[in-house]
Amino acid sequence: MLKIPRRILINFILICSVVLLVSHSIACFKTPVQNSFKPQLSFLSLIKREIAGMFFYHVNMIQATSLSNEVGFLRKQLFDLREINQENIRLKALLNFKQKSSLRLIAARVIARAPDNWSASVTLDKGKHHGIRPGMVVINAYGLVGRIVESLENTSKVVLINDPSVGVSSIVQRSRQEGLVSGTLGGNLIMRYLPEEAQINIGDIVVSSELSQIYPKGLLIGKVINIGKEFSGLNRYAIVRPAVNLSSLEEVLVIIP
Amino acid sequence: MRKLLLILILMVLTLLELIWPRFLSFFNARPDLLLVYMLAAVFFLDFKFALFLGILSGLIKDVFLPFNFGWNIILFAFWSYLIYKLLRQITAENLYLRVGLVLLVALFNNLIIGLQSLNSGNLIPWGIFLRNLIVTSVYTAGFAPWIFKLFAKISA
Repeated sequence: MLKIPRRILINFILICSVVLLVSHSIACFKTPVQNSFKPQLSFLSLIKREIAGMFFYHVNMIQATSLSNEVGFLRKQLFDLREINQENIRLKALLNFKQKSSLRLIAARVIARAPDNWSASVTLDKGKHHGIRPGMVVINAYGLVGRIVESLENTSKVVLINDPSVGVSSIVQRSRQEGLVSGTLGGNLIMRYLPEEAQINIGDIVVSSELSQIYPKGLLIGKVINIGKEFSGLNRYAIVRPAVNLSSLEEVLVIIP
Repeated sequence: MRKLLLILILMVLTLLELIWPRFLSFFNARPDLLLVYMLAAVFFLDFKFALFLGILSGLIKDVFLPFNFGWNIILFAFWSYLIYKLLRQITAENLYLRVGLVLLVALFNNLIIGLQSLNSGNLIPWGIFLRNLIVTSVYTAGFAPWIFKLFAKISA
């Protein structure tokens, strides 16, 4: 049997008793001890972190580059999808209009604009070969766009309704007041030759009239946004905002008579 | 090879002018890159070839316009000749002087076309007339240094 000397046993019991007795008072030493070790520990952990960082830097760098490339690719894909979505919406509207409309229509894409600021025209990707002839009227799902002035084998030129050389015989839908809508090269059109007592208000819808020899009756032109008196004082004029956004045309429909 | 390169640049500038992005339009005005090209040709090349390029750029511009075919051919040839004559009287090596000449030619070119349009019976509001006259000309002149630099590199 293990024999422990009595003196050692007494000493051990005494020490344990003392420790148990003063353990409460020893707890107050924890904070200063920990505090005194904190800077060294922080410094060591920083070194450890930095060494680990150096060690894994290359791996992280490669990963970051690959992720950044992926983000760029996904962003481009997102832009492409947005563009396709926008095109889809436009084409759907055109197709819907084409199916509902009783007119015979040819769809075409705008491929170029006039190279100067003194005329408003666009070039279409379809021409004589597709049945497009000069004088044909061009519309889109929102309203009147213009008319064909030149048709080549595979392209055709459309003069837009905001070109100053264009005049469309038109009427105010509500009051049947007649006038002549022409372009100003700006974003709006001008409806001229309105008599002094013309029945026209801001917000009225303007459509092409049956008096027009070129444009079919009832095509939406735009909305009246302002009314004024001509310089001569004899007539009034109305500023019409076109229903079609003529500065961002992409697809149009050509009416086959 | 150099001539071919110059014609290629003309094609690129034409395409750029025809599909000029909307976000680069300044007050809805676009620069007349073909006019700058024609003047750069007069500044940097021999007169005969410059005149040929001037007529060619006028022709290309006219082809894509809906009305009045031939105006730009005549005007571009006229400006080429006028600037050539002027360069025989004065030295225009300074970039600012050249840009100033581009601005002057662009102003007169726009004024002639604008007045011709008004004379045809087209109703153009004064605001839009002045915008097309001044803003377009200044914007055109603003693009001149880049095209000059390109020509200087090619002709060197």
